[in-house]
Amino acid sequence: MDRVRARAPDVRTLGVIAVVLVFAALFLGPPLYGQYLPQRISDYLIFGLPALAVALIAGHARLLNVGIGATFGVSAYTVAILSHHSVLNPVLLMLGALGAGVLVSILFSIYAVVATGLEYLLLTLLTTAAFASLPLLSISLTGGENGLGVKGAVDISFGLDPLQGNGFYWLLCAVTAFWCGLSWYLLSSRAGRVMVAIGRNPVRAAAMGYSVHAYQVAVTLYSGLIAASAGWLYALAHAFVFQDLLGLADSVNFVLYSLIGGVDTVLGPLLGTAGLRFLGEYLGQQSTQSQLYVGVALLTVVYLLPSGVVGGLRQLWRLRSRFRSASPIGTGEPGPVEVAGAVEMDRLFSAARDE
Amino acid sequence: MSLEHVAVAAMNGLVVGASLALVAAGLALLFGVLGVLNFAQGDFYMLGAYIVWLALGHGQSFWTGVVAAVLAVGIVGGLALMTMLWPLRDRAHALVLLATLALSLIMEQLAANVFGGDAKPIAAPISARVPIGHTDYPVYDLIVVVAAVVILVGGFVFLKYLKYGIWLRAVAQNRRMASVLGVPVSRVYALAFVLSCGLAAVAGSLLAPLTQVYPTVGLDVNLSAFIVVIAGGLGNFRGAAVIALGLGVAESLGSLWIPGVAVQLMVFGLVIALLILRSQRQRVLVRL
Amino acid sequence: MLELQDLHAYYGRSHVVQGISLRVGLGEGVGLVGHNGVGKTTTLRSIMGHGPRTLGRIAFEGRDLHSAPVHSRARRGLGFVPDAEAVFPEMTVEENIRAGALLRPRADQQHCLETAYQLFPVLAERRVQLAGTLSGGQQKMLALARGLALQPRLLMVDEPSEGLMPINIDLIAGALGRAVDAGVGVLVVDASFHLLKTVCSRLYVMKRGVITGEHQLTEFATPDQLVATYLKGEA
Repeated sequence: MDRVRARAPDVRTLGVIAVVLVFAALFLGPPLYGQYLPQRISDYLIFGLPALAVALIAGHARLLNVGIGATFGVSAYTVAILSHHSVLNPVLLMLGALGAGVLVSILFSIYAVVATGLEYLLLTLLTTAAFASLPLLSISLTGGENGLGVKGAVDISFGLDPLQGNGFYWLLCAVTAFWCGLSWYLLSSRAGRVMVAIGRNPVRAAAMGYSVHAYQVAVTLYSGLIAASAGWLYALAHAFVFQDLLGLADSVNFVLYSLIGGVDTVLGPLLGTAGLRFLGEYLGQQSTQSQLYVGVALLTVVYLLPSGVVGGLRQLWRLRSRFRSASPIGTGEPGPVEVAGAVEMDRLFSAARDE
Repeated sequence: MSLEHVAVAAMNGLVVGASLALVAAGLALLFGVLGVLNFAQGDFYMLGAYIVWLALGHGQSFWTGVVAAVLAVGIVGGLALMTMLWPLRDRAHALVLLATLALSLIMEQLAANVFGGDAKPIAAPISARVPIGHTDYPVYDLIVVVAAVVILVGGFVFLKYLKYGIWLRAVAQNRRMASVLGVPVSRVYALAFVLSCGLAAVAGSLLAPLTQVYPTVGLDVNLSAFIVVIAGGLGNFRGAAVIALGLGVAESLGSLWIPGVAVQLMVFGLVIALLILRSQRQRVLVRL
Repeated sequence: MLELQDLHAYYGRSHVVQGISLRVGLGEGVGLVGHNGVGKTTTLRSIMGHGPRTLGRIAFEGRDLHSAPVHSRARRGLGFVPDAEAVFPEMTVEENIRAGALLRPRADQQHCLETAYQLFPVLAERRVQLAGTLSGGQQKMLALARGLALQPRLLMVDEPSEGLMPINIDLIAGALGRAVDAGVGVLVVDASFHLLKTVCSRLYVMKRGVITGEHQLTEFATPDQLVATYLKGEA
């Protein structure tokens, strides 16, 4: 009996091994494979980071922020604008982009403090839609509808050429690994668990003495930094920024990527991004019906895989280990929530509970 | 800037606001009952417009087309939504949002496939014009405003005094208790879906002569309707209607004095300020 | 009139009600007592038809209720007044009562309103007030008044006295008692000795999902004797 038990692998260890393998494959695989694979994976990573940001702020902290796209876009524009004003130092550009992202995040933090629930969502949504029009206010600065090129060639990206060699790709991998690692660490830390508790029931958390707003501001800034770093990298990789980067389209995409990949995990959003963008490219080449297929894919996820792909896999795994150990451990769902605003948030992400 | 210019701009604003109010009211109704925003609302608007186009192409009158649009989209759309969303009613709201988003994508693609992506013009059924000062204002536009107001007032009366309207509000406010009191909840849901789609179709079909018909004609209305519904206080039928009319007029009047882009920003700013001022209230129920 | 045979109820994995059998007759007041969390509310909800997954027989007036939807159980004459969140908060007191009465002809609807106002005059005073702004106790009275005014054949009430002042407990106990006298069956979950004595002739004791005893109210002269029945045999 005991010997059989001892052999059953610890879920946690398996998880860590899997992650290490994934990242090893990420660093080594595409460069070995060649044929522009690093460039395509770069695209997935650049768009995957904001999806991760969305998962953290909207999934874990349950702040429905549709404005991550705005942060992303503003940071990218900052790089472009600065490069036109003779700022070509890569570190300064990076800091500029991150700083701009922080400023936008501060605005969103203010919203989190003054509003909750769907009104917060609308504030972020409106702001993002408004941002899309901002470049038109000063065409000389931003290039208006024509967009803006990024000056400085490879100097601004530490000498790494996004189009040749693997250096830039490895920079991307390193940034991704950094944010994933940091996010995992924070999520499993006490602060992370408090954040999740606040997301589930802010009233109860406040009653327990936690400063709800402080945590909300913190998570808004953190996810803003992730999105800002992605915007910075985008500007470096594509050397061109345009209005659509600022608006709602990308923001909605990020939400989709994270929802489909699994909003409760760190890798989920990245995988969701890769999957959906790949699907879009493939379908875009095959047919003009891509929207139809994406819609059908979404429906499939909704009815068959509601926790997203990664979340669904996780649940499958949990089911397996439950049968193995034969002890019915509950999943420890939190109790009923009382206040309207908290109810909205809870209801957005979890099924109605009957007790 | 003469008074006449202002009057014309205000009228234009009312026309846009009226159709927006119809779409937003439908959204608010659905939100109140089911607790979610229907991303495909703009696409039912679009379908309404296409059905009018189809009717005209088959030699029917414009008004026949409108009636056909409302019935067809209301019933078929309502049933489709019911089939899709009823199984999800106790699951996470995010899933419902995703499902309606998926429906929206599919509807737009199918519309483009069936009708082509080009914009089809539709002639207004009444080409008469009425003088307002020195300008001749189209009578049809005025009719649109009147029709919208009549429908919205009718909706208000329905919700307040008629049996199914009261049941709708009851289900929105306390579904459990409503069923305990004998209200057939699934029937009420179905009604809410049908009405919501019908309202969108009315708006789409009435506005078709003014905007032309193309697969994404509903998108702008959609976004504005979302804004209106949330700013009006979710599930608040009257609030949504009033704010929609107000915003339509505000944007139209604003563009007299402020150049294009800034008007949009001004409108956004107004709504943002409104929300921040109102952020105390959080109730999510169908009110009148 | 109401008969439960070996009822089991599950919330997900939780086996909350583990095989109970009870009956309530016409014009009979029956109580259900026990500690918090033993499954009393779950039992009532199971009878009404929403919430838990159930196994076992629930028969109302001879017909098996199994799988009948909630609203059709209500239309057969089964009423339920939950312990909380029983009103429509954005409707006035009067609209709340009317909402329940809509299934009846016009004339009856007016009669329902008057009955409710006679039962609890405080409701008449506040007829145009939004129900959500009433105090907790007033909301309970509104729900109960509406429940009684709809003239069910069997009314189930969950913790009517909880949170109420003694004066109001008297009022509702009286109202329920008169309903029983008029031929309505009443199944009430409550802890107030006074209320149980006024309304019920019989009661069941519930402990950890099962019924551990059935008693006549005449067996108890003091509250302590009643409480002793569900403390007895604590492991």
